[in-house]
Amino acid sequence: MATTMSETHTSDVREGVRAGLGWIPALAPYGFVVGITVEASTIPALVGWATGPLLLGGSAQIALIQLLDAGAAPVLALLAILAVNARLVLYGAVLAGRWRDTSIGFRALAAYFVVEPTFAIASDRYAGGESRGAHHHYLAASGVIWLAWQLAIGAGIVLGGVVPAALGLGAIVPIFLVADVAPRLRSAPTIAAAGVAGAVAVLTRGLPHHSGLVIAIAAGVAVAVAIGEGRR
Amino acid sequence: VSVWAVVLAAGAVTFGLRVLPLVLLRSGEPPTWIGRSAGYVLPAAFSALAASSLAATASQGVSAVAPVLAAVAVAAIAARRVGSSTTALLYAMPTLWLVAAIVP
Repeated sequence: MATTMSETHTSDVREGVRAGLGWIPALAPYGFVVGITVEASTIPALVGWATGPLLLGGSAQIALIQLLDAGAAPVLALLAILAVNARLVLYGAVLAGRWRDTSIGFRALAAYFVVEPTFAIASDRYAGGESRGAHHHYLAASGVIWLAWQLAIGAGIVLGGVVPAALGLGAIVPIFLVADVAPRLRSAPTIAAAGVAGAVAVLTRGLPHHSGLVIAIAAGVAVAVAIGEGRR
Repeated sequence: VSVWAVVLAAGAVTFGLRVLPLVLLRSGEPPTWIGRSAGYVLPAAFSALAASSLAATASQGVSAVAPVLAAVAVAAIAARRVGSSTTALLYAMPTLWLVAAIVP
């Protein structure tokens, strides 16, 4: 029985690693772009690279690097991080119930890894049930993504100056996000969530420090819930 | 204040945001709105992030956004057909380079 459990967990870890590897084609170029941003700024390379393990989120890292490079006040930089990363609260709220019966250590580590790719992987895996296996799957996938992210930022810092801009690496992120969402659009509420959030994000793009993103996500979810309730 | 101090504080703020819902929802049943909205957060978030990025590219002009829009469209179609966002990139990136070469 113990062997069977162990084999199951090994299988979950292997599947998690595979799920994490699936995100690397999008994350590696994005991390590379973050590294290029560090390389092009006036802040020390090690400080710029350290935003990877400390913040673990490209948009927040780029915002912080650019603000520090521009000599922004520390309070302003922290408020910007608060606004850019506010969406992480929504992801955590969705996953909190799945992690309620785990140890404090697991919850702290799992929370540290919460970001778009790991949230997507967790959403899919936890929907399949069997929490314990899903925990192993999540940590394995998150570990792969974490490592790839730090390496990609480092590569961007070191090699950023020699990659041609014509490759369009900066476009990979929106392309990959759309490619991830497209197969999920199979019901009216889900389509509404994506459509409304996208439209509101464009309309609120002028708001400071990407704060429109949180409004857009909330609006998309609210409309989707309303449509879902109306169809019951 | 040193740059290191700001970066460390930014890391603490970010970790706080990640842990906050786990602390607030530690005991008792989670609010029903979380259960109702859980399946919609990801499509809404990814769509908002993608749309915001595309809008930023669009502000640089047609020649900047046209290749990306074409690539996004191809990626969406490919992803729906094959169910893999990684494979979709294999169709989308050549589209991006091709349209970028055509559009002046």
